[in-house]
Amino acid sequence: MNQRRPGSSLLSLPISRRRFGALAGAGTLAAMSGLRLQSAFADGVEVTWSSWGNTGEVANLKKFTDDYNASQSDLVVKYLPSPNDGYDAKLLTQLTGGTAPDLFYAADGQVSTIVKNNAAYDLTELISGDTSQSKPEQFAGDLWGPAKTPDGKYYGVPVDCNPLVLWYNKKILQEAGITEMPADTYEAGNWNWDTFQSILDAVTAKGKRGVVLADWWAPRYSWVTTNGGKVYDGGKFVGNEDQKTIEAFTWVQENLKAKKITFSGSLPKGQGDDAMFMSNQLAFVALGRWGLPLFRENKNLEYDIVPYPTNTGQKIEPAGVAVAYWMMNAATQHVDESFKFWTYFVSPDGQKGRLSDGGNAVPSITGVEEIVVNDEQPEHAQYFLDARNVGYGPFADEVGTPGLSTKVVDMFSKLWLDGGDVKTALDEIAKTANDAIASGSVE
Amino acid sequence: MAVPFPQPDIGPALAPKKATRTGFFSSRTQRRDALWGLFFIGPQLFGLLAFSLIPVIYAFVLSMLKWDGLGSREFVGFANFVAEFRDQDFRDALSHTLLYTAIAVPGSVIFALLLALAVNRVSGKTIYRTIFFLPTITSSVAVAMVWLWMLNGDFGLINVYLRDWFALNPPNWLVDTTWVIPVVALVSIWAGVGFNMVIFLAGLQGIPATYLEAAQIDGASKFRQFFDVTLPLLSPTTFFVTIMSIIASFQVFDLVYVMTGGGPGTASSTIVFHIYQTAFVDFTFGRSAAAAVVLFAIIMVVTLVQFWGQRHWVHYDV
Amino acid sequence: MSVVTASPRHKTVSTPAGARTRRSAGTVLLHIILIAVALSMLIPFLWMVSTSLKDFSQVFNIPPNWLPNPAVWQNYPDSLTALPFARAYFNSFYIAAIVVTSQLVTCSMAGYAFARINFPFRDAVFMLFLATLMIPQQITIIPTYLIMRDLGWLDTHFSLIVPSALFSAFGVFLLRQFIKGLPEELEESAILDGANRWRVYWQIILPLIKAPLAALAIFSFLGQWNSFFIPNIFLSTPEKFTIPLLLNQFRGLYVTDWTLMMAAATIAVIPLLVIYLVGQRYIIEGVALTGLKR
Repeated sequence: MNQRRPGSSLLSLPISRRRFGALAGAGTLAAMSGLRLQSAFADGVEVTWSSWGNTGEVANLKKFTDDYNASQSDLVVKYLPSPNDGYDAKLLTQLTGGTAPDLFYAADGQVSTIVKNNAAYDLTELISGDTSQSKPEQFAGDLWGPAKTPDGKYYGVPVDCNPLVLWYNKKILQEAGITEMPADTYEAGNWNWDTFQSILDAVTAKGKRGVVLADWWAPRYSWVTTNGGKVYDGGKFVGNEDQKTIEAFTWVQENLKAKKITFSGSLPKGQGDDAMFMSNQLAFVALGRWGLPLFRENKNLEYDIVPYPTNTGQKIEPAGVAVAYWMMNAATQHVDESFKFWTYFVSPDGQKGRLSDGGNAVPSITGVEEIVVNDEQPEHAQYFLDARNVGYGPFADEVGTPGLSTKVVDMFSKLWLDGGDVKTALDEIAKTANDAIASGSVE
Repeated sequence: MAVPFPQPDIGPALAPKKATRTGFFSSRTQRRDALWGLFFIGPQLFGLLAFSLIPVIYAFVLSMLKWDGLGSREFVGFANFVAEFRDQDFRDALSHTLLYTAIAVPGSVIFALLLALAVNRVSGKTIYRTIFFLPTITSSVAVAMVWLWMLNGDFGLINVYLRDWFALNPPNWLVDTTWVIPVVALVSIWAGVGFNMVIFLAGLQGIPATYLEAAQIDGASKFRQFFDVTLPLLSPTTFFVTIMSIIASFQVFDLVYVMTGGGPGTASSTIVFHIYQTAFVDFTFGRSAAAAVVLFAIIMVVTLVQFWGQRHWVHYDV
Repeated sequence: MSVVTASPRHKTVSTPAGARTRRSAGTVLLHIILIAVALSMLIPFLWMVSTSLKDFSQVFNIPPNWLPNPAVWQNYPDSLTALPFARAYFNSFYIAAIVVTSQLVTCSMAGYAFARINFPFRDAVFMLFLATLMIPQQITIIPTYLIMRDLGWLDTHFSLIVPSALFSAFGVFLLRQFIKGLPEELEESAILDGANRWRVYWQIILPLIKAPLAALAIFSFLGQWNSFFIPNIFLSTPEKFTIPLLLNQFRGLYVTDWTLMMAAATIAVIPLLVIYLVGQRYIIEGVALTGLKR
């Protein structure tokens, strides 16, 4: 939900505050009636949950929580929003101290450690049981990542997701002489690396930047998988042995050297690709749906999206999907009640409730695709869903080994900035990664 | 003219003597002083013991354990220290921090002193003082963003002027592995000068004008007045500012976190940044604590050297 | 033998007439330099205000524009209502007020002791105080958290107030330095007259250290007002949050609401400015002692 719609923000605020007040009142009444009627049930059970988020997101989630409280009387859900910075440190400290909330968002890098130390509740039985509104098979794509252990246990689910697509700036493309927009090329089945390369060439010839390569896992590995290459397989890093992977990275590096692709590590922090995109300096930017609230406000921007180009002859290949995970505290006092809210949160109704009305993410559960498609923007919003359905979440081996993600980011940064030999760099990365995976942490 | 230390009237039998070999409290004055001392430092001492000491001890203990933040702890002796010193990231962070401190501390102290002196002498003091303090109270995010814009390699103000006015070819400051640390140090000097300036101003007020008058009457030039009167009388303040700047510089984190995120790559990672990473991102708390202990040792040694050296340049007695 | 006189304040030393013309050229140069430095200091503040008045789509224009067109004044009321700022201002204020007052008293007491009272282990204890400054918060946060948990102070303001109110190595060090720089004769004569340590502290020392006390008040207030990391870890209920926590909530995982954040940050600077303006007058006019005849 986005409070920044032009013109409506002034009007919507007082109204939403009144509604909020009414809901809070209703919620209290419901809780009180819950107290009277269900006194056998641990007295109006309170379930706490926390997440990060900016003001718009937090307001949205607060409303969602209040609506839920008003709709039933078994439990009272209390939302504890936390600032974005330091969320990880705070969650970890709370878990150590035994004061963490019943339910919480966890970033992909934290999930494994939480699971390994039995701080997350094993949801395997509950999630497939009768009370579950969010069974594993209902979730799209392969987003499990570190939340599902190799022996098939579920410790969390993707709370929603953000598949990476390429947003493109129509004006820049047109000025560079491109007549067929990438979305149309994709529909015609010709969206591959060759057509993409020709656009990059044309755009950079006009003095604009082509596309930015960000330094986290999804933009980087998407180029590999859209070439049919593998990165991790069978618990090991295999990028240095897979020809297609090497080919993909070599192609990226050639473009970096030719300045057709810009590495974000060569841009000062804060001058992100989204900023460059919005000021008409950048033709393509690899983002999820979170770009939408940003871009739609910008009247000077004409944009649309297209999945990653492929080099395999297929129309679409798997690309990365950014995911945050929804987990339950292993030490929760109220398992059944917490699970009630937990499963509703990620159920089709729950995700619809959270992500409608200008949301900035894509549902991770199937059945509510209309949220994305019925939104006015972007024109080809369907591609978010296409990308999600074949996409993959973070590699459990990488994010699940403490320290490895950071190390890999650093090593790739070095490769892109210094311009060394791709195979050599991949060999070093493989050694570091596989040693770390075997020993359980980076040395 | 020195006055002999006045003694309270406590009678001939208990006339004070110097501490003898019979022990600490051989004189009532000393016992009295001990009690007064305890009374005066009482609240702060309590705060220290209750809230500060335990975490510090904990850090030392943790440096010898292997712990991922949630699970069990395992004693590993000095293995963490060995691992840290073998870790290129740690060594880089250490050298970056040393470079940063070497630039930031002298720069910061001298610049703040000069500003304080300047502001003290001109009219419009209040306006200047307020403006110089603005960066300190402005949100650090805003400070970082502005400098990111100004230092941008392509269109930042600084490079634009360097190219247009001086026909130079400046690097992209924050993304250049050689320049990133010095540049961040310069930004921190700029951002923190107001803070130290305020302390120096307070110190300058403690210098009686009569001393300067006397020196002037004796024929000393402004230059001599500064070096022979002001500077020595200011030395306790200078000492404080220097020590605090050293301690703070060694622990720089916020500016790096917001401006460069440790980048490019790890070129601007500092020790505390490394400590944060190894703790909350890599979940290797034992290693993180070991790094913290090494940092502590370095700062402590430097500080002790300063304290020992102060007898040569810090003048407390007037 | 020593006479303490509070002579009328001399702010400037009188100079012979001839020196004045020489001085004015130097003064002009000084002003030019100072103005240049001052301008550079103003820039982030101006950027903050400029961004706060922009429409969101214009924040990242490359190259940046300083004058927002149109100026969105609505950002200011919007920023205050987007989050519970009224409560946060109250929280930040009263926490800072208590901590500052307490620190002024306890730090000056301890500073006096370290400077003037010869008690056993004095220097070692002082080093211990300083030592606590040398371990970064990132490491001590977990044990501190556990202490707060065991005290039952988590998610309460006690966890923020009590440790800071009772302990500040910075404040103790600052005041120790200043008190050490005071002439000893003042205390000696007072003790000779029969005053005990408390009276010396209260009636002689305190009035003389108005300048560093004002400085400490400013810094202490600043530190409490802008403190983020520790309150972030200790507080969970939004109603208890302090201002920096709310400011940070304008940052989402993907998107930061720059215009509202800068508007809120600009407003949050105002109390700091006020405290600073009040405090710095004491720093300048603090010391009345200007004549000391030996």
